[in-house]
Amino acid sequence: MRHIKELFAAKDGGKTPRLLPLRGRGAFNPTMVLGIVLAFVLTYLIAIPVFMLVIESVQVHSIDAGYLQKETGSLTFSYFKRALTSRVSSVLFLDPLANTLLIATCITFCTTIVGYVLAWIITRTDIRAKKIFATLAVVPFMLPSWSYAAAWITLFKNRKQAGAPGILEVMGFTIPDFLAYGPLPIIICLTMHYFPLAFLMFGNAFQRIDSQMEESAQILGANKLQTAIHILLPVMKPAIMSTILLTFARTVGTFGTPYTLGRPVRFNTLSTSLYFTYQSGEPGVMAVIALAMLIIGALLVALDVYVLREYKRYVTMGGKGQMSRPFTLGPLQLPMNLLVGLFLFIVIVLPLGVLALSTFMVTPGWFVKDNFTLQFWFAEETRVREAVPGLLRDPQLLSVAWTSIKVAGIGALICGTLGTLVGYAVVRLQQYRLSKYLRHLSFLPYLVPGIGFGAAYLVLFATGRGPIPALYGTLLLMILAMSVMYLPLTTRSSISSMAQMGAEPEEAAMILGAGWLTRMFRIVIPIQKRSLFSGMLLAFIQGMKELSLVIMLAVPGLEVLTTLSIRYTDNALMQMSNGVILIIAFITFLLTAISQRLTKTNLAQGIGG
Amino acid sequence: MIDIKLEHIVKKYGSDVVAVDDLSLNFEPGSFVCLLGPSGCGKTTTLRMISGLERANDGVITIGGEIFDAPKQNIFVRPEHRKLGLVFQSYALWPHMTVQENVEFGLKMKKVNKEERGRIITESLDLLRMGAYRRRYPAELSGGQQQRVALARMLAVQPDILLLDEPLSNLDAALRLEMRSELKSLHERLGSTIVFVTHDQLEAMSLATHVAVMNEGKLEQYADPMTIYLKPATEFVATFVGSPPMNMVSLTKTAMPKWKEDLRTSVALFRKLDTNSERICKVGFRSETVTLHAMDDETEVKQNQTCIKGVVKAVLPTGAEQVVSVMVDEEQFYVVTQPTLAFENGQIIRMHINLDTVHIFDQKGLRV
Repeated sequence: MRHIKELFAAKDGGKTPRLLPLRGRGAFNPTMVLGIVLAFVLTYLIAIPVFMLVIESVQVHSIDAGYLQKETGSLTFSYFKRALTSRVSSVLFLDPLANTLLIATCITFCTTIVGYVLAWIITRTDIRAKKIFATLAVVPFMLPSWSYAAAWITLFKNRKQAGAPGILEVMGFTIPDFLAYGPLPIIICLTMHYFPLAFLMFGNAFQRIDSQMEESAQILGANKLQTAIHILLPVMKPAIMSTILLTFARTVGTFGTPYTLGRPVRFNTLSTSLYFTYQSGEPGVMAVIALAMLIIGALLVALDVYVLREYKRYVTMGGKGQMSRPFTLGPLQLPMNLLVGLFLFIVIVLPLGVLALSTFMVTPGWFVKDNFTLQFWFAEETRVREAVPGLLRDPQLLSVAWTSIKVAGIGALICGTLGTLVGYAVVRLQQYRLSKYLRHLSFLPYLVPGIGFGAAYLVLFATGRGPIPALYGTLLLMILAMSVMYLPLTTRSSISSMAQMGAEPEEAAMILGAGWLTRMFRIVIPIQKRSLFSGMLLAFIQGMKELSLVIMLAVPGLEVLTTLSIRYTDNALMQMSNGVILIIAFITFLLTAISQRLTKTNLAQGIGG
Repeated sequence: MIDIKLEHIVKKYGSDVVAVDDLSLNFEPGSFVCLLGPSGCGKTTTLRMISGLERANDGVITIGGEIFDAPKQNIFVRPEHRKLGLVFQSYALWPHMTVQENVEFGLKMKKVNKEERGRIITESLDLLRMGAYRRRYPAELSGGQQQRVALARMLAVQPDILLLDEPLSNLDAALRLEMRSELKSLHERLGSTIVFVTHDQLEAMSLATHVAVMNEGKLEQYADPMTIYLKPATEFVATFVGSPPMNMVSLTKTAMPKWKEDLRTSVALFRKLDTNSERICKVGFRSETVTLHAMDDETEVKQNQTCIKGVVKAVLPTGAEQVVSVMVDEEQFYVVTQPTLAFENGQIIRMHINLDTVHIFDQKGLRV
């Protein structure tokens, strides 16, 4: 997860020579054609869905035509009124909005602090085992986002809710509601999941900062605290700002955690409220909520653009000086190692341990011999409540897993191809406005809440429009949504490696008589192979654990692992739900390990190394 | 004006890497000292210990009569209390502050009042001809301008000692020459003690009043530039200082070709040493102390000269002079001559070497 600004800054800053601009009659520029085609495709896949959402929110739906006494399709503001000013508006929209802003603010605050401190300790002090710590600190982000919520509920669930109580209740503790459900656990769980983002961004930024800047301040009479406040903090500001924006966007769009931990006490966020209005058949209000989320996303994008411009001068200052000697912890070295180790134990081993343990117990938390069981994994028919087979004996699980792999895999392939082409067009058409349009449009999903995007896709493809048939309930729609959602990942890596490659290799081929297609397949793609591959793998891994986006697009008979896990939660089958999370985690870890082997890269690369 | 005294300084990284090994140096008040040596020789580490950014493992650092760092006595003065200026190779300007704010920072830390600050900022920026740029951000300045701001930032606090860590190495050749003369005149005007780290021997020669040549953490020689050039104390100093490098002939092998035997004999006789002396290990002579003569040239070998025959391998004119590379057996020699003298590749020539400027080094590489 690299700094978004790196791309806007220096690398493609207009220095890459463009290929021959073809002039005159008969001049055919395939790159331009590609750019125009891509512009149409991206407009249809990114801009139009948002536009459709606006229409959907002010248009009478067939199910409401009767009670609104208006024709289907005519203009109405009743959905906005219902969401904003009616008696149910606080339940439907206003409270969820306030809740969303509250938790997003708190989580952003917490992850920023945790990420900053951890990044500082690992990059700037003489703590031991830096590489191991840096690698481990990224692990929570590779788990599905609501794994922590699942572990939390497994541990803290109280008897007021249906299904088996949590481990601590079984062990004899009484857990109050505020600790078991609602904002507090949501904030804690999502902080644990999202702090690696902040850690990676800060870690990279710390690594790049010229430490001689701090030393100069020291020489001029500033103590450590003054240096930290007047020099280090302002220099880190761009990284801090973009971390805040990204984390905020992610938490606004997250679904699994507020769904798992908020529902029991009716603590709704925009994402859960959107889901419930969708479930209860209020597409108009759903569109209003989704629109609100997209507006938040758009504001974040605008802020990001502003911040980027404001801080451009920071980024251009490359650190030429060598890293200074790390901050000496002295006698604190061992305690600090233990502290970081303990923290990583709590955020990695503990939750995964709780999840794993629960799948081997009939009543989690009741530590007697007869209570341990393998049935949730291996039984032909489990003995609890519903007669479902154990996870590994369940033919349905296999097909769902296969669907997951298909969606994430084909999604990643399309995403990678599209990203490479967009990257190529953006870099090669730099002198045209089209390049800017493509770049901004393809970055848009980066800061747009996933579930809002899912809702927009639902609306756009619910019915056939023109030559495009209705895609609702098809695998294709999920794949399409997935490839667009992760487009920023592949586009970013493609733009930077295209810019790095420059035009010369292609120009050399041109001189030797190679046509556009030959250049593309024999020169460009082979050179870009590695970055293309790692971009696609990243998209694949993210896709495997994606929930917010697909929850809107999954229908009975078309499920992926993440939605299956949520359905088990709905049915109070805690062990099965946890088991599925572990399966997803296993697949993501495996893929990450393989991709690191193949590409010899590492998410936490360079940090602490 | 302040003096700096380093006594038996040792700096280790980890348990086995010795960056500075038993270094003792005295910097006189108002001197312009260059720490010169190849990268990794411990010169920057020495500078950082003077500044207080590193602590020595052993020894005593005294600045202006006051002990600043003495691990044995558990004395250490933190860098922010040392009243020094330090300019880094990367300049390390703060990108979020304007030129003016960069210069003002140190004054704020010293709690100088606002009017006074304004006066000093103007003064120090004017001194470096950067007055017109005070509202710019560092990213909007060229390398040379950034360099000046970095200097102004340190000069503003009127440090007792100015430390410079390879400040010119990021500049292009023309700018480097300009900044060199700027630094030299600055030193003359301010009169403060300056310690300057560089790996560029030309820079050291042209700027410093004293040069300390370091290698592998140890001091090789500490003297004024001309002494360093004319009387190198060690074989390392002899080869490191000067361009083209000093011609060095090893005379240790038992079975030596005749020209080496002859060289050894004539050097020993001239210096009144025993011809079989073990101490004549290597003989060095600078490229400008040799004259080249064609075989048909009838110039005689003078009393204080010795002659070696060789083959011209290449002629490298530089405009003002030319460097002729001469092969004798497998060994290469450089000779600087007038650009008007014509030599051809493959031509056999005689080298007349001046014996009074020949340097002799013993087994330990020390000057004889």
